[in-house]
Amino acid sequence: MRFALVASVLLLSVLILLMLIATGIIRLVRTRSEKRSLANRAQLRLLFVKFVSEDLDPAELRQLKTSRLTELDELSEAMLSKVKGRAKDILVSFLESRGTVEQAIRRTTRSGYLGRCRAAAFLGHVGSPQARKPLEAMLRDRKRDVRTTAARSLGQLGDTKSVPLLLSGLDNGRRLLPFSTVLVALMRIGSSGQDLVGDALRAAGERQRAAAAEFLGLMGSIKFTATLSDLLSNDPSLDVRIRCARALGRIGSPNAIATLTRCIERDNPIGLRAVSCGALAAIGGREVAATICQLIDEDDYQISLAAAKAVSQMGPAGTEYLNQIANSGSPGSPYAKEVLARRAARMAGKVRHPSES
Amino acid sequence: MIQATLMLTLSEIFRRLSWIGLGYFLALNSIYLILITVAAVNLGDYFRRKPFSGFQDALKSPVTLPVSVLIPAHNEETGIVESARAVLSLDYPQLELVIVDDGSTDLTFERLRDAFDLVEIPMLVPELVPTIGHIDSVHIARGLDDVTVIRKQSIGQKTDALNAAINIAKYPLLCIVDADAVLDEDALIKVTMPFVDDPQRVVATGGAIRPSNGCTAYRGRITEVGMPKNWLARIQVVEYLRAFLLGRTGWSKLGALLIISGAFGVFRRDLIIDIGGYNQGSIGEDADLVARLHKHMKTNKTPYRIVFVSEPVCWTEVPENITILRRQRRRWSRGLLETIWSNPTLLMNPRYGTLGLLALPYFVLFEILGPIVELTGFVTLIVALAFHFVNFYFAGLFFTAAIFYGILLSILSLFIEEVSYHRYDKWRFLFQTIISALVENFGYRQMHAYWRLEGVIQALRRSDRSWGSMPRKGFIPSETP
Repeated sequence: MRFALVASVLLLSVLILLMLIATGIIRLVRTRSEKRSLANRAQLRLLFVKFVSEDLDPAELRQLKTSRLTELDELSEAMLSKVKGRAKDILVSFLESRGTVEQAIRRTTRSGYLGRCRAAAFLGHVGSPQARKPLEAMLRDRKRDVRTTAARSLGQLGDTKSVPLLLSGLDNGRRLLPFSTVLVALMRIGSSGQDLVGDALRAAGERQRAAAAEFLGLMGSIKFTATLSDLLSNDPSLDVRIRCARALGRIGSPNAIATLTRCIERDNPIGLRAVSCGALAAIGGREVAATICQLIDEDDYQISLAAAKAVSQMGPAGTEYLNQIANSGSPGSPYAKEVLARRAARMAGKVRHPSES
Repeated sequence: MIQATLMLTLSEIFRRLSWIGLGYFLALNSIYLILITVAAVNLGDYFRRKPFSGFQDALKSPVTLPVSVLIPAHNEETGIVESARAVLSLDYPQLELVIVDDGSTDLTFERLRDAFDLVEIPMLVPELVPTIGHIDSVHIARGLDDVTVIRKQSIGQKTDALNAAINIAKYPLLCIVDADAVLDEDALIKVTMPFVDDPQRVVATGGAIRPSNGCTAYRGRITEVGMPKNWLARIQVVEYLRAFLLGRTGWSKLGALLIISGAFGVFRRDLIIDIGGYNQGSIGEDADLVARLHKHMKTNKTPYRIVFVSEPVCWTEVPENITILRRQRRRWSRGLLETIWSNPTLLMNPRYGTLGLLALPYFVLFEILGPIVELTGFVTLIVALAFHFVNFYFAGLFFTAAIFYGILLSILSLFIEEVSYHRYDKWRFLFQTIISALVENFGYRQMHAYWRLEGVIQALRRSDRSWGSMPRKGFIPSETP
């Protein structure tokens, strides 16, 4: 017992001492390397600025030491995501001339997942068309981080050919892509990918349909109004239906009014009714106003409040109607009063703000 | 003859007790060592993956979930406006701020009214979760649609204020923040990232808490991290690092996180409503809420994750005098015991996995019974020494081993902090934290055990359950950002 105690005290003392020394060494090394890299970076930045502003003589570039060139490579890679236009073109052509793009493509199949991630991110920033295939292959990588980075990079590449693969990644068994990443990637690709995304409204996977509906709504794709309306009525997934309702509101086509009106009926889930109500208000029109106004007196506060908010968005006629309900003492009058008060406060702020500044 | 037999028996009893005590200290510190090791591995992984985590995408994404930030405030006139401004300037696509002035007797409301040009609105507040204190009025800021201030009558409980805020909140995620807390600019987006990455399973996340004493602030932002001037607060810096940052990271990795600090946590609103909001009258409301979330998800057989994110920091003022620190620690200890007491089915229940079989038994054995064992150990040691039941040499070794193990854990935590976040970047701060890690074991630790014991006794007597208010000193102001 005594021996064990002595041994453990000694061991603990040694460990404490080692930890203290290690902490001190790490601090020392960090402080020194920070100072050194700060000085180094200042010189390198000067070179970099001259380089991207095309003030650097090619002969001067050739005279640079290999280590300096490697440092310039690293800085160029790091700066790729921060520069645009001509400066970016210069950087990309410099990196291509140094063979870094090919190296990155080779790295996409390496064993270390962080290396693959780095390669995918770099290829996205460079935006080289030859990177599309390797990046698409990475969408099925076993590591989630690699798949996500590749999806992000494909968005940066902006090639519509990647759209189906990005969408199918949402329902790709155990190797899924995050919904948010795919949506941002699709938005980066932009409206040129609308038709391919539209096809996904008929996909078997629920998340694909949901992403497609969300994207088409954000893009305001009017030609998919009918398909979205159909999904809103018939899709088995409530999430998809809610996203379709929101998308139809964003698109703003009057052709969706009939379907949305059916969705605000009592036999539908509350979430869907509230979103449909907002969507109808976004489309607007006299016919819509009458339908929504009836909802303000509903039993459920979510519906009443959503309807009151929706009516308040309908211009002077909506405001007048809300005033009537507010003074009527009906079940919906508290919600009408609240929405009117909020609106008044918002407007007062808008009037006040410019004068203050 | 009888006296000799008695002495022999007592000597044997003390010998056995010393073995038990040694085993106890060994087990306690070893579990912590495992937790810190797990946390270190997790932190390494986090740092490697950080460049590819996609924070920037989440900021731009139209599907990043909007957040309602809820701040319960009771007599917080000193810092409430700064806190509110800090929240409104957070990097986040869409958020609303709901402040509950819970019967403040100071100028909390007046300060808010003047700063945000509040206007009263008629509002029918739905009772989605139960509240007791009557809501006197609801106010919104002119020109800012997303600032709401509720004035309500206080029943002396933070939980009631939080429930009132939940009833008003409109967004799918709820972020609970203390009124004196200051968040890093990117704290909200970082703490909600698990919801973006894994929206189906993540139900709650918590961020790291660090003491703000000694830090410099400008317009509700920490501009320079510093060490407190007060030694009691310095010791708490080490304590927060070891227990809150690394301890919780470890528990989270093991899937057994029981506490998401009330100072900074994010929850799914629908689930909070499903479980009836905060438990009225609960002292450890944060742990109680998380325990009930675990229970709810397991009962419904829904796969879920409760995640601790170590990087986003919430800076909060820690007590600098013993009276307030004692009150705070008594409350924490009571809160923990009451949480376990009111959720007994979780304990040693294989259905709750590592939470039921590992985390909760740990909390019972080492956090609740810990102070009893520790103090009994000290008293026994003194008695045993006085009556020569154990020799000085053995007692000294025993005591040194226990203390050194504790010091090793603290120094290990400092080492991990140095390698990872490196927030206290001046050499002076490093020396101060090292000295605090040493000093902590002589006096502070024993006092702490005593306060925790008081908390356990208070919980058993079920007395005093009012707001745990703390006098604020505020930050060192900075004139430049």
